[in-house]
Amino acid sequence: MESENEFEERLRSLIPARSSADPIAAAFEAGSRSARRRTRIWQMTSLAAALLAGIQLLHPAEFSHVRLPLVQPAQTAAISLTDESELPMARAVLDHGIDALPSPQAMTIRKSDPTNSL
Amino acid sequence: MSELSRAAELAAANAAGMKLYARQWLDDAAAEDAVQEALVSLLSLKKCPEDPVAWMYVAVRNRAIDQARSGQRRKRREQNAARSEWFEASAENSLDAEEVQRALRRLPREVREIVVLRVWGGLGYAMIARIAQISVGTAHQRFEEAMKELRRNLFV
Repeated sequence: MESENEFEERLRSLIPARSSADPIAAAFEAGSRSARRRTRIWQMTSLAAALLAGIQLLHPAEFSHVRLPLVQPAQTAAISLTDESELPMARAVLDHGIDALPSPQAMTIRKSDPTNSL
Repeated sequence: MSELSRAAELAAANAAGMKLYARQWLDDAAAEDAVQEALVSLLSLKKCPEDPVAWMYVAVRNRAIDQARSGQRRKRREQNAARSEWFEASAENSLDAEEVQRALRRLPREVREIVVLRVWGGLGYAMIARIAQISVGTAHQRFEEAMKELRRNLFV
């Protein structure tokens, strides 16, 4: 009885039926498919642009006003020294020197409209 | 000559083995189409695959399975596949091509494809395992069992 390898070799000696696969025809087909794909992309882009232009022509009002989102100015914290706080502070400084001033954290911080503080 | 063109030439040189592989699912004409389509896909790639022959076997397999699944035509294809020849007729061979074809057809398809990839595709077990989406151990085991079965059926 022959070995496994010999049997495998005998099987291998059978030649599979020829194939007519043609690399040149395949290359040509691949090239034309790629060209078709590119043409299709251009066609779709042109169609989309034409549609957009058509809509704009039919409904010009829709496109005349472009609404931009309103940007709200950021609210800033401003220190406001009112008359009530300013006068006693000035007196305290006159009487006891600069040490009489309160620490910055202790001062009242009031959020206010930045346009008012300008 | 570009890398892809060289890969296509290499794949075309192995086309007979690929066609035989496709024949496990399809008839002669459909198998031929599957190989040619895989070749077109190879040439449409932007980058050449590391192993173009293995890549082609995977592409042929996917196409063959897809086509074989396409409903009504399946039965007709299988009948045609049984009728037409898988191997070139040769008086020099000690094995009868028709008998081998019959013996191969008696094997389950998932086993038969391993035999075709190994014997006529000349691929290693690692590559066969990748193509057939099984483990290397399973590929090896299936091949060994198939060889025993073939020898039994061919009285060798």
